[in-house]
Amino acid sequence: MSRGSAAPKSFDTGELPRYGGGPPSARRPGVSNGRIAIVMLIVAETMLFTTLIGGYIVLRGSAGVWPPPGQPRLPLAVTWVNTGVLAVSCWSMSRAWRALGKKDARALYYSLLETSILGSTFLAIQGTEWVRLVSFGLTLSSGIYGATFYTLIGFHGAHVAAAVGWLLFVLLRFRGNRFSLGKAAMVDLCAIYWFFVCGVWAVLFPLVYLR
Amino acid sequence: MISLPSLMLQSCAMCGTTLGDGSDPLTRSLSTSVLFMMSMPFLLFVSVAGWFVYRHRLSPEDGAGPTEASIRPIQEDASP
Repeated sequence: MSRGSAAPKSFDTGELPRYGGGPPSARRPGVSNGRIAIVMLIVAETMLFTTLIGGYIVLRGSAGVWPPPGQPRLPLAVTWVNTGVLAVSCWSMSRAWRALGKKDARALYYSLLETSILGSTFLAIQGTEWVRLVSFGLTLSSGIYGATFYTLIGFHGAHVAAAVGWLLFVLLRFRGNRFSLGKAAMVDLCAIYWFFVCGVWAVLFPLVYLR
Repeated sequence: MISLPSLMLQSCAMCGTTLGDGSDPLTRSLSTSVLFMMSMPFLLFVSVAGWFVYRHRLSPEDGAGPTEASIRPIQEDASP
């Protein structure tokens, strides 16, 4: 099994590719189609969060006092713990990424499992706090404070849920402990999306919870 | 820096007419929000384009090697 047998043929004509025919460029593209797709998704999601944050800035800035009087206070301590959970999940996902490069199937599988558990824990804690806030009277329709809070944090929670679902799907595909280039690309794209979701929380947490 | 959003938004006739000189909280927050939202597409484009250029320069010129520098096939032949 030689490295050259898996590599594509190289063309030594030195000619540029012609439209409609001719040999392809000898230079392999630096970015795969999968990564281009995930980058496009992340750009679109970033613009979504940008508009939500923009609206939040207007509503918060125009209000005289924030949070408005009579509203329940957000659970800062629990959310700090939740932020730590998400940060550890980033670390475990980076470990999975390194295990992928080292072809360590066992380390990769357990790192992905740890990441999915931490992501689920984040969602569970978030959901529990939401139930408490609703019982205290902070709802989507209780005012600007509740509406902006649930919209911003809810959108992020939906993205975390989607990332956890994707991660669980990747884990199921890896149960057979057999790897291929296609499956490795799937892990890579899932990891990129996970880091994006964690990065969004790094912006939302100080913006919404810290004041 | 506080007046920068208001100053920059004077280039928009609608913003300048509607918002005025930007002394009240609504005007300031609206100006900040618009500046933030308008800057994000440029930041995203520069980041993504710069990353593409960087990855393109890292790619091997002879076409050999893995598809991406960070991903290698774990199992090149599926043996039973």
